[in-house]
Amino acid sequence: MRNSRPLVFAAALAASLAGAAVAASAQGTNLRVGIQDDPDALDPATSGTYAGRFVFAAMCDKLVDIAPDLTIAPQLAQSWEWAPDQKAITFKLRPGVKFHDGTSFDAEAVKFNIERMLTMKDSRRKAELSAVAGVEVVAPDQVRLTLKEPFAPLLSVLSDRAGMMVSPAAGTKEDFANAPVCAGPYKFVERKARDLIKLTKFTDYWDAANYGYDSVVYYYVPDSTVRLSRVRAGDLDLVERVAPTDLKTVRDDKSLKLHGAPGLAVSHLMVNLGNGEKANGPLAKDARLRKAFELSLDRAIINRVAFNGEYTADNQMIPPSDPFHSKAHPVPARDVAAAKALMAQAGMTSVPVEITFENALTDARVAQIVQSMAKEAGFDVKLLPLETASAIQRYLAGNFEVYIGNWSGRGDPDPTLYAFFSCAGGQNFNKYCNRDLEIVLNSARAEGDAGKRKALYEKATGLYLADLPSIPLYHPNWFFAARANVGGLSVYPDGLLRLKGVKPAP
Amino acid sequence: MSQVEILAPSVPVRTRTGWERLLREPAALIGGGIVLAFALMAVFAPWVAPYDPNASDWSAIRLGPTLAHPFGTDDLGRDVLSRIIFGARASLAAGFLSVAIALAFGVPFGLIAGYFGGVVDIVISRLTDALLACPFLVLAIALAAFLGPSLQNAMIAIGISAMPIFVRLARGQTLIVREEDYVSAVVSLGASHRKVIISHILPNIMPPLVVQATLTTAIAVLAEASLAFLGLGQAPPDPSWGSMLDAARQFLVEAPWMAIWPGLAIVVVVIGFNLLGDALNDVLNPRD
Amino acid sequence: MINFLAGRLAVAVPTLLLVSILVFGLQKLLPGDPALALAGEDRSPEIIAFLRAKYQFDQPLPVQYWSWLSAFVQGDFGLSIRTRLPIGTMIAEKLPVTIELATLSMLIAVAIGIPAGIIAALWRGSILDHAVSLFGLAGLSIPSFWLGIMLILLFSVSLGWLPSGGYVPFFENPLGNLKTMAMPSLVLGAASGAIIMRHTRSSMLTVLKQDFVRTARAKGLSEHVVVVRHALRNGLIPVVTLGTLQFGQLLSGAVLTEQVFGIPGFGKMIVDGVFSRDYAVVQAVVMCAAGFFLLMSLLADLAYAALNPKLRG
Repeated sequence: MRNSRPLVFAAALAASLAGAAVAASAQGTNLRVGIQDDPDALDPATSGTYAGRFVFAAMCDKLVDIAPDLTIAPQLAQSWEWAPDQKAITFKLRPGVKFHDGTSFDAEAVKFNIERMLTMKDSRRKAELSAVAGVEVVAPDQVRLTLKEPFAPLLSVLSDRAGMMVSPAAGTKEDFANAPVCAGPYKFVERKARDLIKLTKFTDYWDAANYGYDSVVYYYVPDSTVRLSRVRAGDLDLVERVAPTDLKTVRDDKSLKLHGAPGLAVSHLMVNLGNGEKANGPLAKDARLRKAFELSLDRAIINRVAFNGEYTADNQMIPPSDPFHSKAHPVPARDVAAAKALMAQAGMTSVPVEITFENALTDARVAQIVQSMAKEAGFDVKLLPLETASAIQRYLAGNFEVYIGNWSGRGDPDPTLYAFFSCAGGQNFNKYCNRDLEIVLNSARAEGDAGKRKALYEKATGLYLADLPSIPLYHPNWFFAARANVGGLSVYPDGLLRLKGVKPAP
Repeated sequence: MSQVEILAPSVPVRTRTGWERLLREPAALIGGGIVLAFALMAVFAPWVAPYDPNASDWSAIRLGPTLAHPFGTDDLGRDVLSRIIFGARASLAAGFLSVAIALAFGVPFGLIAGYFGGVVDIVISRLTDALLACPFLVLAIALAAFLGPSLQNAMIAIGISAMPIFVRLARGQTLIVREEDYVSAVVSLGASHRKVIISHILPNIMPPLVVQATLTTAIAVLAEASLAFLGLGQAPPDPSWGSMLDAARQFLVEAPWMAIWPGLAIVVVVIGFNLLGDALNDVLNPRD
Repeated sequence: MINFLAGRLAVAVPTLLLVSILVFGLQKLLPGDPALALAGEDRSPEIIAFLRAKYQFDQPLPVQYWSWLSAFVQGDFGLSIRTRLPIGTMIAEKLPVTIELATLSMLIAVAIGIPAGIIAALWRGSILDHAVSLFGLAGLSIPSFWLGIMLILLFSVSLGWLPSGGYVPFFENPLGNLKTMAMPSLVLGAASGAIIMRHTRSSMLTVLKQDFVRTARAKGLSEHVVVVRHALRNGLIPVVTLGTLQFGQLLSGAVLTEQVFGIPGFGKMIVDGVFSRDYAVVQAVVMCAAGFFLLMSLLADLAYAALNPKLRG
């Protein structure tokens, strides 16, 4: 008994010291952020959620970043150069960069990371990086990625999780996701499941001076109403994804400031054209009926009724805020008579349609509005709400007639258009295939010149809008509500919170 | 011990006086009246409701109560009053049918377990205990998620979750009735088990079952609303009071009327069933 | 007493085992491959096949069950399929939240239910009695989530007194904690309070008519002494039992309340688990809820045996 005394005492001392450390850090400036979803595994190689990307934005630097105008900006790579044949790219790395464990970031680390993403068994970056043939260390601060074929969207890919660099020393560990080690401005402290993730400022960060908060805590608050009430009460400093219907409250509240930006995401009605039994309906067989369906909808009303008009009603997968949006294809106005005429051409007066969706409030509301509008043109729409897991299963199996797809979008048009409209695209579960479009999409991938790429995507837009394998409805916009004393905040089109320049306002 | 007292009155003789006594209970009249009124409303909904419950008016989104829409309109410009009236269909159907399911499966198991005893009893009783140890609502949520969101599946989920209560009640009552002299007499006269159970035991265990069924209907109505609130009940666009509340939650500031009426409708119906159940209990199981 | 305990445990253990088999079987019947739910936005057949193998979804059910059970009895609840965090830790974090909520609710329920029930029984047939009955009926009939919404409408939206949801740990901010807990515990306590009140009333009515109360009265003891010393002591025995059972059910009763107020507790963990197909979490959480319920039933029986003089000998 007696012998154990000092040990107990030491433990108590350690505990009180730890307590003191916590108290000290609490005295620094802390940014409390309310997020809508609970991130999955905190490993850039295996993460598959938007919420994960949101946290990574403060924790894990990437080779390159995107700028607010969607151009590529330097981050861990200071500059880069494409080979003349577009089949290799050489990055010049930022000197003196350290990982959170104190080890140095260099070309070897880049090689390790890219190879880790390509070889790790549960890596989800394999498809994104499939064009990469190999990684060569040219010099300690220079690394070259060689490609199997020209792939213009590579930099855009590397501006997201595929470009996030983790410490090689930590990256080999099995439980990396429980204690991630990256090279970003904030480092991981702790995570409480379905509750919070705590980060603290990394003092050795190469740009530490531009980060104004000593720590960041992400609180998982799924209900948008609750999130808003907590930031209003001052329990949180900043919340993401304020519901469009709550924006008036934010605007009216003097203690809050609304920060918004147009988003890259798209919500669209995917029509099953060739995947199994469900592709045998009239809508699948006749593009005129799909056009008629589109004409029966008033996107502006959908936006107004479901989102108080705060989102962007649109007919394309790529939002108007993106330079690759096609101005030559404006949103068609609702025209019930024209819709009926098209149906008559197709020899139909009433067309049955079944819409499958995840039974969340937003999609349910949109589905009901669509149902109600399409009915006036003669579409007999049945709604099939499913809870998320079942809905996803049907989506993947192509077991749907029409599915309300929600795609988070990317800074480059390729990942979106190729995934949905290429014959073998990763999201092409409605089995749409148009050889002409395929050629255009592939040429755009290989095209290094921005102007020529834009022309190619104009052409692609015309092709998919003629076939309408998918009927885009709207693009959600990003709305953050922050306490008025959070300064320097700007919202990016990808909706991720970048903390550079964010600091307590005086 | 007290349960023997409950069952002492033999039912067939009492039925008439039971009805008379029931009609003299104010609680029974109020409760029965409420249930009947809502049942009529549900059946005649198309004639009673001023509007098509699913028809949207894009120029009347979230309008407060007016003469044209006494309960206001919802987030999709639909008449809340009409949706409440049609919503009674989902609520009452869920209440009645899920209890019917619970009775149809629970009572036979309880009868068999109580009558035959032995291994059959042990197996049924242990399974019942296990089901009862799982929280009712959690079981219903898991089952409803398993079956997929629809009114029919919600009813099945609630019915299965409510079943063990009836197994246990029917078993306990059967154990008591089986020991009664006249049952022993019938058995010794060589009546088949089937006949004894159906003709002699079942009628005698009915009163507590009826009371429990009425009170469980109240619970089932609440459970249906809860499941719909979580997105596991009636599929849109057809109205259910629970899903109306789910949608209303987003508009508490702008459109509180969307939240008030569906909730009141649930409360009134559930009070109706509870009053009726209490009154039945007083009449059928007189204690004092 | 030891025999009694042993007997109860002999029943509780197989019951828990059966619960685990039921829940395990049920989850495997759920549509929606968890591997798909896990795969998120980027779904490729290779990743899905990998995830299936990794979490043994491709093994036969009995094998999956056995490997789960053998770990579970050793106190290893496994890892959450979604977050890869140990479920034991998750539960350890969530449980105190819900226990606080359940305890506060129970305090409210008892503080309202027992006095109201006694008053109603003592003045049977009076206006007070009717008022209490009405309140009890309402408490049983109001859906908790609607009561929650109405309270938010009143105290958060109109008056602005209380936060409409969220959770602050007690030791971080005691006042803030109680503020966030006030409405949820009232909502949860109202239903239990109604049940306790109804039982207190009927139990007191029964006791007041019994011989020993009559004897006490005949002895000329004051009404006060009769009620407090004799009637209350006996009348509350079944209420203690019922209250303990109620407490056992509050864990899961918190499901909807936690949902409405966005409280990161046990109940929310169940719902999130079901919706995200996190089998491992659902399994562990339901086992805990069932275990807690059985424990409370046992306590209720013990309390009954300890309090009831007839059983004591």
